[in-house]
Amino acid sequence: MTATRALVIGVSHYDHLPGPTGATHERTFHLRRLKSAATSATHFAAWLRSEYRAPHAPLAEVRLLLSPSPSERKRLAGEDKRAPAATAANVRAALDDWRKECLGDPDGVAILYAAGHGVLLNPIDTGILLLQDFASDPARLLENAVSIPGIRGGLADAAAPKHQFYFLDACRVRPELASRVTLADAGLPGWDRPLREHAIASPILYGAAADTLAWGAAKRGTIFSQALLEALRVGAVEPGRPAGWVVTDTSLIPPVMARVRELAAEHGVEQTAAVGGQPGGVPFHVFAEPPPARVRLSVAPAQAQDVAYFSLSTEGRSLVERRRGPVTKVVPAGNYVVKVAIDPDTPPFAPHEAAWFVRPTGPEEQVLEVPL
Amino acid sequence: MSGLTIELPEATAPAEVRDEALALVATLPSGERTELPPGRYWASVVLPDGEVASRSFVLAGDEDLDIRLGEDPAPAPARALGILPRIPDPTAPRAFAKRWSANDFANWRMDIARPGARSIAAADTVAPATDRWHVRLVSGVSGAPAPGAPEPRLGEPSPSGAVEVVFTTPPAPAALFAQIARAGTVPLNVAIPVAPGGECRLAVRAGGGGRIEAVADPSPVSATARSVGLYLAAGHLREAAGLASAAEQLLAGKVADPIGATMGGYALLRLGRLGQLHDWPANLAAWFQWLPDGAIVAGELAALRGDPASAREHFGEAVRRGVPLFTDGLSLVARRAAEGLVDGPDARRLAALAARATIGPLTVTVRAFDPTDPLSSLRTRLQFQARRGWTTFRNPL
Repeated sequence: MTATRALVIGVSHYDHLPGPTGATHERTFHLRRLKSAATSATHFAAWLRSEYRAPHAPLAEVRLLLSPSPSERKRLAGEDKRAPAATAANVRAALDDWRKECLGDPDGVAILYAAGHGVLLNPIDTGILLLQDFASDPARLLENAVSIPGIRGGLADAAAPKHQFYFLDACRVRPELASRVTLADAGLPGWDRPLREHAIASPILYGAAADTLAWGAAKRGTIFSQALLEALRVGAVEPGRPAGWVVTDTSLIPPVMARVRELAAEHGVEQTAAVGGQPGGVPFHVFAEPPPARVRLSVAPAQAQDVAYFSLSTEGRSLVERRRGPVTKVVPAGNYVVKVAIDPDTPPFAPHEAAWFVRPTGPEEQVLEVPL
Repeated sequence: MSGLTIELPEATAPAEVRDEALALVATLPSGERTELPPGRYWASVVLPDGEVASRSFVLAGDEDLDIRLGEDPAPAPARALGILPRIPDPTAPRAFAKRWSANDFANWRMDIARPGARSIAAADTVAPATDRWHVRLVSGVSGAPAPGAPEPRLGEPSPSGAVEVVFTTPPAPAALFAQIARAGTVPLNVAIPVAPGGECRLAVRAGGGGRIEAVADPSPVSATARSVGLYLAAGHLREAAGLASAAEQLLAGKVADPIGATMGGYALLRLGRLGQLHDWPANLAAWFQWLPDGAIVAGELAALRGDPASAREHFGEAVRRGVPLFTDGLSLVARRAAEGLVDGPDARRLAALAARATIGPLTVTVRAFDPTDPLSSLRTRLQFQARRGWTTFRNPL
């Protein structure tokens, strides 16, 4: 069956890391338990279940593994409560099952989202997510960790989905220890990988550029997940090729990068998103209808408002008919003709007609002020 | 049918033209004409600085229309995600002409927040220090001072306030590093991505803990290659690919631009546009023997095409040529070495260097006494003799 298969992992709780006040250790990279990674994973899983749309590959399942903090566990609801813990054994089993189902469906879609502590060992295309039981063996520190590029490589097979999308919501900092000790690569996935990559698109969107940190806020989730969900709903939405409204892997990149930077600045930190893997400019999320946009029509100067009447139409359909401005309305995004009639005739004001491209804006208003 | 031609700023990705229903009807490079039936259309282009210029227009029957996008930018504050402000900005351009006329439309610009803080010459301003600091050029093959290198000079301060050092590379083809250091510190080495006899600018500043930080501006010969770098830095990968397909032309002509071609090659590899690479990376590798990155691009392309024999040959040649100039190249070598596609002492040395390189800059950046020997990374330098190629500056960083 041609389908979308998603694997979502969120790790806030770590068995061998201290809480907010405990002493940290170099051997565990001076890390502490987290508060928002599991929340972010549940938010993304919820978006997949309720909003994601790929007409050619309907969502078949969302495999969710969670290691929530105690406060996050209290907020879990519904099926999220039954999500297995993100330990190495559970993640390995889930990865193998997910891969097995993906292989043999080259027209399908594979999605992976992973949030938690992350490290990297190599400047390019490495991002390792630490799992709940990270550092359980001090002699094999990264045994209970999973390489996201390794997962991508293991799905480079010709039988794997041609469209794959990876999201790593984690820091990507090379541990200080790595300057003195050659760390073995992540224990998972451990798959063999073909030399030649067959996917048309298999980008990795990183919440943090190489050698930088990723940040989060309890309850709200990570900065990256907030930026990603905003982009999926508004900022990355663009006219499709050939038509319709879509979010593509490439249209996601600039708004996510921009919004991550903005949100980080609002919290007084720095964070930069980055992209790796192989973007392809392919649709990731397809809208059934044009997304909504809130528009406001007015004229200038203000004294013309009383005699100016707006009409708004698109493809022969009228959405606003002879209404005196200012006009505020929610309309489908698209190409419109705006007409301004003057009644009664009031020189020097003259009728106007022109085109206006209305972008999706979510709750924000898009304002058009017509100069008369 | 009517004809449409769009004029764009130099080195800009092709514009998209959509009909009233927003179906894509044409993708037009600058100056290229297309025929369309009469009707209402919308044209847009992403500029190298990340902003979007667009215009709606009407094509009447049997007319030829020329429009320009990206001209006469009006100052407008950055907006997040293309969302416009609630209150109209009085400085923003007006969207409508007073009369309905296809040629009278104002140039409507939709501003999106610039994602790129990763300008290729960016450096954050920090408090100045007054210690002396020293620079020189060294070989990326031997680590020895580059023979015949003119003395570097100070340029204009960068927009961020960093000190700019201008290097002119010697005429002998070689991959070179700029070494910058203070007494008692481990030198910083930054690859200089410039063809022989070219000029490269380095933005130098004092970083945390008194360390020196520096970023190289590749200064490729062509505006096309520079725009590719800007698009990549801003995350506009589709637009970068649209321009990078012209990278092949950067190898031809009277003034070959191997650096620009290499940047285009890395961009196309990053985007998986293997078809657009054709076979010219092999020429890049063969014609510019001093450039490790040319062989890396060729090797990676061969690997992705499932030709391990060619990949091994190219990667083997690449590691023999020395340290790559671009971080992408060093990382590809490290990854393919880990996979066993290339082996030997040179490959292992580069893989070790990759583990110590600074992550993020466009060109290879590593703190080491000798950039070709990663095991020397903890040695500090105490002497900076002119006869060893050093130039001393006293300008505050």
